[in-house]
Amino acid sequence: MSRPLLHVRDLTTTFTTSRGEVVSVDRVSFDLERGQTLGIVGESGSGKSVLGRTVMGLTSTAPNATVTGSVLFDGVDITNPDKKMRAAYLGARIAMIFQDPLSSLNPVKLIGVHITETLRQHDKSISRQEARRRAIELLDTVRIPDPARRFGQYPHELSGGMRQRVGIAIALACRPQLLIADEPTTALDVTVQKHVLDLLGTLCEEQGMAMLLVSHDLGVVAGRSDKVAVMYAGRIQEEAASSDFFRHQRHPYSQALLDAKPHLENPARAELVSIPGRPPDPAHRFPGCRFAPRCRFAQDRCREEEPSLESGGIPSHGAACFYPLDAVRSTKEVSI
Amino acid sequence: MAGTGKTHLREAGSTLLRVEDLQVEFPAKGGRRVHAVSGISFDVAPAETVGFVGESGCGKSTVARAVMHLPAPNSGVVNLDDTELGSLSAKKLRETRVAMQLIFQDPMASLNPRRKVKDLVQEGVEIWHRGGDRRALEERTRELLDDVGLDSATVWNRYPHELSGGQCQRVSIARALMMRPSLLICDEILASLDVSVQSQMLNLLKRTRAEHGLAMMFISHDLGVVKNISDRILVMYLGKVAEVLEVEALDRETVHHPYTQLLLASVPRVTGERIKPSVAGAAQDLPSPLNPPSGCRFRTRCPLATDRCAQQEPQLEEKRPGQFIACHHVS
Repeated sequence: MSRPLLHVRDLTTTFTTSRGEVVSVDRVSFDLERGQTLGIVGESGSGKSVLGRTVMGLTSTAPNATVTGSVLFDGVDITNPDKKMRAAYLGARIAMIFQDPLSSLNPVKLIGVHITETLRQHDKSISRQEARRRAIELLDTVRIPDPARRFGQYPHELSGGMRQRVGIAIALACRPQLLIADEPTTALDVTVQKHVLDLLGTLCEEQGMAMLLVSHDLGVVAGRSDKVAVMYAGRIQEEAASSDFFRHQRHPYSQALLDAKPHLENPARAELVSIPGRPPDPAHRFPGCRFAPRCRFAQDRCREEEPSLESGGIPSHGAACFYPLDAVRSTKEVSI
Repeated sequence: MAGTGKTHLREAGSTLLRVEDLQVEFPAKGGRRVHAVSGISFDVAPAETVGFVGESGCGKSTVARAVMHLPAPNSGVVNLDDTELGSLSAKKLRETRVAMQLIFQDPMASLNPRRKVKDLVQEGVEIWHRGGDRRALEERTRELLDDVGLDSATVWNRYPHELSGGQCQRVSIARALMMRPSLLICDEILASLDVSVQSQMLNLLKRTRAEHGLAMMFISHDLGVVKNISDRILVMYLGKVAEVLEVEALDRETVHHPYTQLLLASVPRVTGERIKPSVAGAAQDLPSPLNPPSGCRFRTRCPLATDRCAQQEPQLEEKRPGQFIACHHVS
């Protein structure tokens, strides 16, 4: 296969805070092929959003942040982009959508202007009329009914689902090859969530766009991604093809995360297997596996040595665990 | 959707809370009115958990507040233990209401940031002089804090900002239990918590309600969560009840109200198979509660809708044992 669209190696994002160094993203590596979707799942504080923002070049500008490692986009290093590179790549070839569509839109700007300003920013030669025409076309692409009327409305006049569609339209303005979607449906109702996920899936297909789909919900990523990476305390703990991952999980954390959720498929009143304790404080790192204090299977070795993400015999199914759940024990499929 | 109708109510003597024809409207600009809750009836038996599920704007939180008379509903009857709350004087209402405790979604915002955990938990009983002497009060506070999974010695003098969201929510639960309520009203209390904490809280709530013999109104947008904790489920849409069902009917029955069906189909399934994105349809919005559709309120989004749905409001009918549906077209 040719080189991947996104090639991330040992990416580390560190923030200097009053409580000391906080390593939010810790030596993260992954590849994303053209047109593919990688789901990144984790609980709050796992570093999943910071990872997305770092790829987008949004953390390297923060005065207290240090980014090391490398992000190669189509072979070009965009880890710590300079101004020129920022203009050429970010917002153009890589675009991002955010969780809260209301706070990511300017309340005193028309919906249409959000889109035309993006268009005109990246293509100075485009005329006003042309920008307007394209903006209405984009609103239509994200299935907003009556796009010409919506063009002239303000963000507060739209529902949450509609605003998220506007966010997607802005992101699509420059026909990006990579879309970073950070919790795109968390603020939305389930019925709207389904529409937005369907829309993102359709657009990826139609435009051959790759996507980093960041979510706290394994359910959102299931069925909507080619690969899944589970993050915990700044590190990727498990990475696999979705078809493989949802059949069996190799890392105890991934399995616990699935078991802890009250799935609709479970029988009524099912007792949930919960994960005791809570995630570690990112300012206080300790030796060994980061999940060890909450892990049912932890041994002495887990508390002393840090496991690395290894495929352990099964191709393309990596787990950062010394004692991964073997396929036989965990073939228990999540009922569908 | 529909529906009004009371066929799903049980005998008056057997219930703890009985709500009939609850109606809540809010004034809006230009003399218009927001029809938040339009004639909802339900009951809660002692030690029973009733789940309320629906999209944002369906009125589920408004129902919770109207039951508490915060503020009182525009019309309708709320009976708690055979006492009609609407008939009580302000003073008597405050006193009676203590038997119902409300827990909110945002655990940080619902706790006074300037008070310590011990004071937060004791505040209610102090107001009502129900704590007994100082030692008994302290003992019970510690006991309840330990019960909800907090280390009472550690959190005793802490402030809310020193706790995590899950811990704050535990403090809220302990504080509610302090009043020895018979009904706990939980309004989206898990929505802001992580999955691993959510499951801890669900297990805690189940244990607590068994230990204290609590009835619960459990409000959530998450059908999976509601199914896990409820005995009965009310599916709400735009201020009306679409379907009432025993939780077992979710596993048993395959035919539901078209709105319930839509919700069920929208919940993401945990599957490794790639879902073919259905050709993304146009964005569809909830109709405005300022001007709700005539007849069945769900008809504007309903695949089964006919003329009849616009003219006549369907009533809740028992279609199968333990399953009440308000729809002209579901049999």
